[in-house]
This record gives sequence, structure tokens and C-alpha cells, in this order.
Amino acid sequence: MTLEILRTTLLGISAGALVVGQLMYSSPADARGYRGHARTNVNVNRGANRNINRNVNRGANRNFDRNINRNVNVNRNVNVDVDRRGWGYGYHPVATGVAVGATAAVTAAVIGSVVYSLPPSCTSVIVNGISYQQCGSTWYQPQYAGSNVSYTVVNPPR
Amino acid sequence: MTGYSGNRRAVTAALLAALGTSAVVASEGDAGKKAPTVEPAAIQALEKMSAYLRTLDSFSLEAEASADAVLDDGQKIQFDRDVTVDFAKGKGLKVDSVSPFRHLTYFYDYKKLTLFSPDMRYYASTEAQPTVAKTLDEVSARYGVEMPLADLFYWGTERLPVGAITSAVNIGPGRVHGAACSHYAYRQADVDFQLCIAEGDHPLPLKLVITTTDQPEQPQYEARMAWNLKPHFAADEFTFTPPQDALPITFRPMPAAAAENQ
Repeated sequence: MTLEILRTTLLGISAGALVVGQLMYSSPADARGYRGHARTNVNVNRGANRNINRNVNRGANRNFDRNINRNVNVNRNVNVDVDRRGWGYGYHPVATGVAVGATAAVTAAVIGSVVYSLPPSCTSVIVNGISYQQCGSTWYQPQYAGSNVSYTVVNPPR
Repeated sequence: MTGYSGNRRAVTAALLAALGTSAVVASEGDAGKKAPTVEPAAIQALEKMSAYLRTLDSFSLEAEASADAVLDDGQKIQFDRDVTVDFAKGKGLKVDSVSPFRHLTYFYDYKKLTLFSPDMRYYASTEAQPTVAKTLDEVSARYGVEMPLADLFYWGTERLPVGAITSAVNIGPGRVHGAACSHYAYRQADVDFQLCIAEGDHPLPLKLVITTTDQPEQPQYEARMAWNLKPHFAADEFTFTPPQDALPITFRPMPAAAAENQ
């Protein structure tokens, strides 16, 4: 994938911010990866899942960084572990934007893939009490992933 | 003159703390074991603050919070946000967190916990547990939702035990927003934290610093808090009523939580 294509992708997502109303990063010029974040609570590692979180996420962080730097297809499952505690919690706005750019460009239409922002020109649709975003022919189901919003590519709900 | 002597006292305290640390390091090197400093008075101050927090029937606080993110090259970047915490025992909790990137509001009315994004218009709700702490525990474990300043509801409960603290030191006097406070530093697994606890009859945390020690860059979180202990809340303050244009969504279960349940 050439740099030009990547740039186009990033600009496209930036335009998407206007449509959706809010994205988690400010501009493509800021595109860079984050590899760590401060814990925001003393009581972070609670009880049984303490070791699970730590082991799972440490590996994922390295993988995430490597993928980002090479501009290769970002493993969509890695995105969820950007935050070492599990889901991201919002102090890595740029990193999620970059991951989305790479992921959206390559796997946007794959059912079940997860991105963290939307392509341009999406419409909010509520079907059976659940919100979807229809972006062209692709449907996304927004969900809270921790305190961030993630978008899972789904089959058209109607 | 007073200011000078005060400063000198603080410097002396810091020096003593530093000396204590090097003594610990030395003995660690010699014997291969830690000799942490746990000052009983520092533990008592934390316990007093925690117990006081648990007696509060209601409060409203405004916090200026900042958190470090670590760039790929190791450089730390600090992001700021404003956090408001409104609480009334038996009625509910509302926490509002605003940054240039994201606005989130947490509603808890003892029946449901709702997370609402006022700018994106999304909201998701889940059944609440009978206490704030239990509810926060559950949404953290299941969904990875970490509410800002959740520690305020954990101190004084078994979920944030002082027994986990391996080092506790009184650094000396502190000052936050013009108010005098006592500055304490604590260490436990994976985090160091510092508190400046208000002097007088209301031993409230005025400043919290959390240092993440299991990352090489040791990113920090910091919150300076201004407390109001006589807030007035609207009758429907804590119950989320979806605006007409709000978009209902769900929480995604955490992968780790799913594995844990298997």
C-alpha cells in the first residue's frame, strides 16, 4: 500500500469526523502510536482477572506498535488491547485513529471486524432498539468497548 | 520568614524521604530483600480519610485531571480533562468527564448504570448492583469500563485494603487550591500513589497522583479536587432519561472477562 493511499484513507476518516460528529483524534498530522498509559485508579487490578489482564495486554501492545509502524494490515483483534487493562479508556486518541485507518482500508467489509471510527457519510439507524451506522453498503454496530466506542461490521439488520 | 522555614521543613522531609529510599535500595542490594518504610501515621491518615469518605451522605466535586500517554518512542504526553462527581447516598451518582476528544457521563441510580456520550449521542445501560463500588467492580470486570476517580468509592472498603500498601510516608505539608493539606506517599504493587489530605475536620483528598510503576516510563495520573459537601441536586439528577435523538447501544464484554468466566 502506498503512502498516497494511506494519506487518502486518513483524510477520508477525518472527513468522517464531521459526519459522525466526534472522533477520538484531531488530525492526520498527529498520527502516531501510543504504547502505554497511566492508570487512572489505584484500584485497577481487581481480584481474579489481574494476571489475565496483564499477560494478555502486554503482548498485544508490542504487536500493536509493530503493526502501526509498518502501516501493514492491523490485526483488528489487537486494537481492543491497546489499553493494557483491556479496553481502551481514551487517553490514546491518536493511536486508535491510526489503527482504524489501516483496518478500515483493508477489512472494512469483513463481517465481525472491529474499528474505532467510521468512514465518511454514515447514517444512524435504529432497528429493534439497537443503533447501527449505515455507511454506504456497510453496516456497523456501535458498542462501548470500555469507555470508548467501537464499531463492529455486521450484516444489514433489515 | 515563615515561608522560608516552612520550605525548609518540607525540603528536610523530602531529604529524609530520599535518604529513607536510598537506605531501602542499599539494603535491597545487600540482602536481596525489601525493607519498605511503612509509617503507622501515614497509614492512619489514609484510614481516617477513607473512613471519612464513607461517612459522606452527599458531595459534589470538581477535579482537574491529567493523565500521561506514552508515545512509541517513550515520550510522555499529558492529556487533561475536567471531571465532576455528584453523589447522594441512596439516590445516586453522576460523573461527567470532558476532554477535547471525548465527553462521557456516567449515571447510577441504584437501578441502572448508564454511560452516555453527549457529543456522539450513544448510550448504554446495565443493571446496577446495590452499591456504587460493587457496580463499578462489575462494569470494570465485565466491560472494562473504568469510571474516573472510582477510588473515592473504594477507599474504606475491602476492595482497596491498606494491607496492600508496602510503603507509606508523610512527605510534609502541601497546598492545593489555597487549602492546606498533608502530603503522603504510598507504594503498592504496580502503582505508587500520593495523596494530599485536607487538614482539619474534613480529611478529604485534595490531590491524588497515581504513578504506574510496572511500565518503564512510569506514566502518571493526577487529579486536583475541589469539594462541596452541601450540594443541591435535582430530583432526577441521577436517572438517565434518553434525549429524543440519543442512540441506544450495548457494552461489549471484555475478552479477559469472558476467559475468566470459562
